[in-house]
Amino acid sequence: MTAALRLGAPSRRRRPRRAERIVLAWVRLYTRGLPDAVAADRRDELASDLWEQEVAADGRGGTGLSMLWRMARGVPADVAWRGDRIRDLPAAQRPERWWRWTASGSVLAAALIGAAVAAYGIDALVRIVRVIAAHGFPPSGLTTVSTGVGTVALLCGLALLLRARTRWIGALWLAAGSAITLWFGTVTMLTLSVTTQAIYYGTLSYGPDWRSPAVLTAWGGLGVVVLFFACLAIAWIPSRTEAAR
Amino acid sequence: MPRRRAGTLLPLELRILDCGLRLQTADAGFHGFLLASELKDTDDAASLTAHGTLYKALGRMTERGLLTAEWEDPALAERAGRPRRKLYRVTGDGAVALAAARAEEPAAPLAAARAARGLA
Repeated sequence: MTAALRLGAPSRRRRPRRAERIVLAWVRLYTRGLPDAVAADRRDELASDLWEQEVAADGRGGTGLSMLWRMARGVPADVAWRGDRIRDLPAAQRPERWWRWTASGSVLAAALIGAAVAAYGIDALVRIVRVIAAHGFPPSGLTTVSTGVGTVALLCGLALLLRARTRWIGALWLAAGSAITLWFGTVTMLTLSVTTQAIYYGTLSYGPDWRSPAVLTAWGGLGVVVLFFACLAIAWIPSRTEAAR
Repeated sequence: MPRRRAGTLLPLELRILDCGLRLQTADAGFHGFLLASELKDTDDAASLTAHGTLYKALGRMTERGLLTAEWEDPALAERAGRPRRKLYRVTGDGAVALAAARAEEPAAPLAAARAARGLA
């Protein structure tokens, strides 16, 4: 494969596959507002990479998934790269409107998503308390403690969002709290919520199956939420000069 | 947040220098996907290095002078019917940094992995 990659494949025009379009759309999004030369450099480099991967695969299946997997794993690095490029620019050249919009929009989104996950954790805890009140013991000690810890971490994370200086630490708390609360809260809900049981098990034909829509949605959602907060934490880490001020 | 000590190379950067030196020839550098493929083969990894991780590292290493980067002639790419490639080369400083890192840690994972695969 190396020799073919080095020499270049035979010339051929082809239609970009859907995965390529998604990756390039993501590149356009995170290069938005950057100087044209910087943005075009990154876009051209990714376009070349995707083309080379498609040629190297030579029609074998799974290339689209591989491209999307490479994109998803690189999202935190892309966000950090964008932050670095913006910090490198003189203040007058920064994409102020885009930057202000993303700065305030991302804080708002973090607060709303964090609050929603915290509400989910509190709902699970209230159900646990009701079981304790009725029966004198919790459904599971580990689940109860973990849901409590996750919810408290989320509330701490939300409080840390209030100050710009501690915002990135808040996003880290939100990432950790979301992972714990969504995991153990869902375990709690599967025991104590009839609605959750109906949604979750209603899609299963022959017992638990990781391919069922409910399972994929639950764990996929957990991954997206944690990734979202991790990206924000990276984007909000103050630069050396900002930290010194 | 603790920051990386100046001059310290990350494991990925060491692997990039190692693979880059093997890939580059006297008159040709290497492009991003070629490097990602080589990294995957060398590490026996299940998947290719993520786009963001790879190109962020390449950019950082270019800024530090460990690599040079140059877009190939658009006419060449046009003749080959493909997007033009950005070609990287490991610089003398990059080769020295890799040698120094290897000398500091002779039993580093990189050397161990290469030895296990009969490459060293």
